[in-house]
Amino acid sequence: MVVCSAVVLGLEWAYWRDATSATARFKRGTAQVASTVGRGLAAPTYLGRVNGLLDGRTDVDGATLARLAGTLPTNGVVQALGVARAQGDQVVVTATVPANAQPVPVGTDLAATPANRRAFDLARDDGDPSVAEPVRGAAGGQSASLIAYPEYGAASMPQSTADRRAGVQGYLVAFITPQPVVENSLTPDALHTTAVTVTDGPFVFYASPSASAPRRAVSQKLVPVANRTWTVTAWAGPGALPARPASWALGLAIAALVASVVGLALLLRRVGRGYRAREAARAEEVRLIADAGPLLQQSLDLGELLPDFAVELAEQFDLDRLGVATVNEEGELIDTFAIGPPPAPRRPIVEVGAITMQLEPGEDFVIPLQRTGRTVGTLRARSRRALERPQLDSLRAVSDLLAAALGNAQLYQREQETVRRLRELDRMKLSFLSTVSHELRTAVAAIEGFGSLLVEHWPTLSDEQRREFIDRIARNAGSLKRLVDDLLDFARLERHALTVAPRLVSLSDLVRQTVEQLASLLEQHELVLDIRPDVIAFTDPDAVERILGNFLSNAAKYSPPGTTVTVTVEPYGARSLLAVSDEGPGIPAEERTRVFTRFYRSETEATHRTRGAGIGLAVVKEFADRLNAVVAVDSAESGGARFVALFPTEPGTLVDVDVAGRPVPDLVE
Amino acid sequence: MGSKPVTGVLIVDDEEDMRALLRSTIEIANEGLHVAGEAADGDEALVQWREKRPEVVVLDQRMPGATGLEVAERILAEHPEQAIILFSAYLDPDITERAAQLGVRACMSKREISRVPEALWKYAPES
Repeated sequence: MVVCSAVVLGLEWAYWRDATSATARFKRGTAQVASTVGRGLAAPTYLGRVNGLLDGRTDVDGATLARLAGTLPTNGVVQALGVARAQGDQVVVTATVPANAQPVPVGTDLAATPANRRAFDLARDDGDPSVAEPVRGAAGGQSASLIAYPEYGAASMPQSTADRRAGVQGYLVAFITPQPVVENSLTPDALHTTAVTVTDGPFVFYASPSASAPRRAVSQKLVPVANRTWTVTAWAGPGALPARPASWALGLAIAALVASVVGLALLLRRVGRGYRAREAARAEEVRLIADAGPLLQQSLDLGELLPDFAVELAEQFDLDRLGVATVNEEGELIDTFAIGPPPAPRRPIVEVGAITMQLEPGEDFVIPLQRTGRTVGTLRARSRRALERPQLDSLRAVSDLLAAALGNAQLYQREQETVRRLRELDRMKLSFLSTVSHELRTAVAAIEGFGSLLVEHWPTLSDEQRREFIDRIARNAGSLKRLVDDLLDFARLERHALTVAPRLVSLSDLVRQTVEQLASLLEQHELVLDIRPDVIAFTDPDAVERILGNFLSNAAKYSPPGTTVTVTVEPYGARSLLAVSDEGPGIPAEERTRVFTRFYRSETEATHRTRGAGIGLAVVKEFADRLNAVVAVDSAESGGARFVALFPTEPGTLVDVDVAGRPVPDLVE
Repeated sequence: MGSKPVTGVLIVDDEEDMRALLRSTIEIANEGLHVAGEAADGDEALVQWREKRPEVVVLDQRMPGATGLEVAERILAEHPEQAIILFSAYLDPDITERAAQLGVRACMSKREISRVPEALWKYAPES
């Protein structure tokens, strides 16, 4: 705006200066014109010369006069001249040049008009030439003035006025007019561009055609003509000068410039205020970040971190509602912390981004908490006051800090979780080793003890006692073997060295044979076989034996003596199913996936009453994974546990659903 | 030897085999020893102990529920003079030290089962 105004003003100024300069140039021109015209009007000196030649006589005839007069001035200032004789009150023309010239015909009484009379009297009394008041149309339609030179009949002039009055004989007379002078002095072009007037007092002798133009660049020349003074005025004709810009336009431009400058000053002040406001906001942001930064960096615990931070943030931004949600491992937003009432459902929420300029008071907004391009949570809030760009920038900066802190806290949480799991695994390993060593010692002590009794007291022992001791030794040797198998499996599991060699086998036959071999495990239970014939599986027979052995020994351990243990083999869609159900207490649903975890032993009463190293089912799971099979435990109809293994029936097939048709990953870790 | 008073023994062990082994060892050694009762855990042990008032209690350390030392502590709280032998598969210094503090007479490894009758005679109160 200022620039526009300045440009307009500058243009006007240049224009004005041009006009002024042109006017000055023109004024010099008009002065020239006035001077030229003025010089032309000085022609009456010619008349003075003729008067001198007349030598005071008035009795010259026309021819003599013509000879004395010679050529009239070519510029036409003298229209005609003549000699007139004073006859009482009359002044009668006696000779003229040119002959019979119109303004002064011979015989005319020139003193008939009062103006001329006064001129004659003045000339007679003073002895000097005298010019009459101009008369319109006096000379051939042109305005002209009579000029009279007194003639006293001698070369010398009478001394006194009375003598002059008495001695005057006549006059040399002429009509002089300025018009031809002007027209002969100036070219038609000059007359067009320059207006000229010649005046005698208020009487306008001559006005050039452009004399109606406004008077600009005016020059005046005063030309003395005998007793009178003619004025030559010259000025610029219409269009000869560039028009000066109107003063109101110039004023308007100045006003616009002033207004622009004032506006600019106000604008600068406002910008200054805005700048100071931004500085203040920056200071606020720096303070907040300075306060919040250490708080956010030092705290690794979300529960400890958020309340302090929320209070800080709420105070800073006048928030009456603030909530932080974090993204859990499934990518869902979980509300983690909130102060103030929750926003009404369906209430519009503004997402604050890099281009958000302002938030109204009471407007709900959300800022995504992002870390390395990943959203780790959201901050939702509402402020009692309007939040402008600087505050929003600060909020976003603090949100970045919060996002980093949340990321750290989540990382810390995950690490804590890992540490907890490792500790748990360590605890389970220790427990496993402790259990195994206790079981080993117990079994060895029993074998050793009963063996010693047999060796040392054989002769005194009854057959019944001998039988009992030998049975006990055998049973403990079996336990010892299973413990050693468990230990070896444990070592293989640790080395990931369990190997399998699957082939197509008759699952029906394999299970039947294995059950016969392991029958001693279930001496105190009623064993029911529900084995369909000709069920095949693509699997490793040794692995199936280990799996079935584990299932059966679990059933034996955890279900009371005298109850039924059922072994089932049947086709299951394109797979084959092996299941062992018991009538024991069953396994709580929440523990069903964990029982297949290494070293895991349920915390139930039944577990404490039984031997076990917590390795058997982990081995089962490992075998199943290698055989593309799946193992699971659910509830038997009796309420006891049902351990299930699903085997593929051809190579390269994965068992991908469990006994309830659920996807396998949901069921088994 | 027949004049020696009969020493009643309470056997506490969660393993049936170990109870059987102890019982057989004591019965075969005879000579004034007899099995007054058997228990598979701490609670049962306390019930049997109050009922049978045995001269000596043979306690397994590792059992479900209360440990042998915990059972010993409760028995000795009621009867500080009770002779108790801790009989465990695994003995570490912590356990033996704690047992001594409580007033348990002896700690024995299950590998030393043949020496149990000796210990019983040794710690049985003279009456």
